[in-house]
Amino acid sequence: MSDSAALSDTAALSAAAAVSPIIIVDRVLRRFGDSLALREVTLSVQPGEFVVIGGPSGAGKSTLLHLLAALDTPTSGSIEVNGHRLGHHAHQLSHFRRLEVGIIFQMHNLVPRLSARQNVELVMFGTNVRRRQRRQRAEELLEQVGLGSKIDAKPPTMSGGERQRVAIARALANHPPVLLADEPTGSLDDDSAEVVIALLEKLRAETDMTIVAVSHDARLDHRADRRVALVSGAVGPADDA
Amino acid sequence: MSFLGLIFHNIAARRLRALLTATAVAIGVMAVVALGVLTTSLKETATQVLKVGSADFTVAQKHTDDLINSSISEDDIAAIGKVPGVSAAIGALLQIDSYDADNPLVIKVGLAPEAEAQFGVTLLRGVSYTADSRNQVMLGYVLAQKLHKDVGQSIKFGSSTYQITGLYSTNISFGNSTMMFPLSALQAENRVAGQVSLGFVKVAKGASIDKVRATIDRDFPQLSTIKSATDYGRADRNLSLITAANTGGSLLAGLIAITGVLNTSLLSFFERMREFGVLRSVGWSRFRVVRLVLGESLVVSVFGAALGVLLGWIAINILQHLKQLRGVFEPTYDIEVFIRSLVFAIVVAFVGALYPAIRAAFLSPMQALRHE
Repeated sequence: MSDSAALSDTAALSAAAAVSPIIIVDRVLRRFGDSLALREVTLSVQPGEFVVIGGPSGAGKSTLLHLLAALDTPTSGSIEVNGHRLGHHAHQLSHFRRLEVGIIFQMHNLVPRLSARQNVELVMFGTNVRRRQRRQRAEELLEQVGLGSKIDAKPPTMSGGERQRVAIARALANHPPVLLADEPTGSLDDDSAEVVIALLEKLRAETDMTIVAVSHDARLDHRADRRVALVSGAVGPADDA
Repeated sequence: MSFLGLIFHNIAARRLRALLTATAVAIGVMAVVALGVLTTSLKETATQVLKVGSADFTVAQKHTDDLINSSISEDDIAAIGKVPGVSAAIGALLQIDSYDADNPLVIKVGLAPEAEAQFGVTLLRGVSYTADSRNQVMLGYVLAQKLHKDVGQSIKFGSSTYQITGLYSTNISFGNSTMMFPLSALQAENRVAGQVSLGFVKVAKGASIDKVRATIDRDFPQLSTIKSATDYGRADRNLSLITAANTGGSLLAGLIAITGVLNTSLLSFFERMREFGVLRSVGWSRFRVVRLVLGESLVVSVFGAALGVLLGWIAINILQHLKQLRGVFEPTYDIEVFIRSLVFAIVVAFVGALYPAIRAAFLSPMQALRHE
C-alpha cells in the first residue's frame, strides 16, 4: 500500500468516525430473574457497517440482537437505532419493527400456510404500499434472492436454505436501514449457508444497509467489517475482521 | 394479498375448525330464528282477534292468563253499547276444543246471528244458523276443506251431532279455520250462560276512540280495552310469557354459541401463538392482530348465521306441520327476526373472539416465538 493510499484510507476512516452511529447501545443490562444475560454492554455501529457479534453459547448474543430489534426491553441502559430511542410505547415499537429494522431468525419463522410471496407481503401490511405494489415488491425480492421459481411455494415444501432466503426477502421488504440476523446460517448445510452469506455480502455491496449478525459461523466473520465478541454478557476485546 | 384476503386464507387453511365454529353460531342463530318466527307468528295469530270485523277496539277481562279465558257478562257488553260515542258493541264466546287427532286445536266461536256482519263474517254457502238452535253449526271454509265437510252434512263433536248450515269466510285468516255456533248454544254447552269472552266495539263517526276507551276503562274497572298488540300483551299473560321465553331462549342460545366460538378461538390462539409472535416481531401492531382475529371470527360467524337461518327455516317448517300447532301457527317471516340473527352472529363473533384476540395482541413476541 502506498503512503498516499494509506493517507486516503486514514482520511476516510476519520470521515466515517465523524458520522453519527446508526446503533448506539449504552450500558445495557438485561436480567432474566437471577440470571444476568447482558452486563452493561456498550456498543456503537456506523451506518453501512457489517458487524458480526460472536461468542460462545449463552454469552448474550441473541439477547442483544432481540433488544436491537425491539423484541425485548433492557433492564437498564439505553438503545438508539437510526435516531429512535427504543421506549416502551407499543405503537411506536410496532412502527419501529416494521420500518427501521428487518430481522432474520435462525429458524426462519415463516408462516407455514402462506406462500413465499405472501410471507414477504405480510410485513408490508400497515405501510402505505398498495396491494398490487406489495405483490410486485415481494416478487422482485424473491427474484433477487434467487427464488423466482418458488414464489407460490409454501415453506414446508422448501429447503432450509430456501426458507432462509424467503426470510431475507421478508426482512428487506420495507427497505429498513438496519438488517439484524440471528444465526442466519445456523440451521443450514454448508452449501445453503454459503448462498445466504453471499446474499448478505451482495446486499452489503449494493446498498448502504447496516448489517448486524449474531453468528458462530467463521465464514461470516471473514466477510464482516468488524467482529464484536460477547463473553458472559459483556463485550470482549475489539476484534476487527 | 389484501387484509380481507388474508382473513379468508386463514379460514380456508383451517376449514374443519371454521366449520365447527360456524356450526356453533348456526345452532344459536337457528334457535333465534325459530323462536323469533314462532313468537312473532303466535303473536300475529293471537292479535288477529283485534282486527275482527269493523271493531275499533276489543274489550276483555282484566288480568286474565289467556284472552280466550276472558269472561265478560253480556250485561256489560250491553252497557258498553250505551256508552256515549259507541255505535255498536257485540260479544263473542271463544272456546278451544279438540276435534280429532289431526285437528287437536279447533276454535269454537259463539256468536248471535245478528252480530255476524260486525264480526266480519261473510256467508259463502248455505245459510246462517238460527239464534236458538242447539244442533246447528257453520264452518269456516278452510276448516270445512280440512274436515272434508260441506253444507247439509253433519259433524260429530264429542257426544253431540251438528248440522252444517253454512260455510263462511272472515276478514282474518285464522277465522276461516274456526267453527261458529249460536251464542246461546255454546254458552249452554259450556255452562256459562250470559257470559262472553270478548267484546268488539265500534265507535261512532266523529267520536274519539281514545276518549271512548278511557270512559270504558274508568266505568268498567274489571275490564280492559285493547287496541294494539302492546295492549294485548299487557292483557294476555301467555303472550308475555311467550315473549319472555323467546328472550330467554335467545340469550341461552347466545351463551352456548359464544362458548363455542370462545372455545375454538382459544384453541386456535394456542395453535397460532408462534404465528402471532412472528407478526408482532415484523411490525404488526396490536390493533392489527386484534382485527385479524376478530375479522376471522366475524366472517365465520356470518357464514354460521346464513347456515343458521337456513336451519331455522327448516325448523319452522317442521313446527308448522306439528299437529299441536296446526291451525294456530302460520309462520310470519318478520325482517326484524333476520336482523336480530345478524346482530346475534356479530355479537357472538365479537364476544367469543375478543379474549383470544386480546391475548394474541398482548403476547410478548419473544415468548410467542419460543412457543412450540
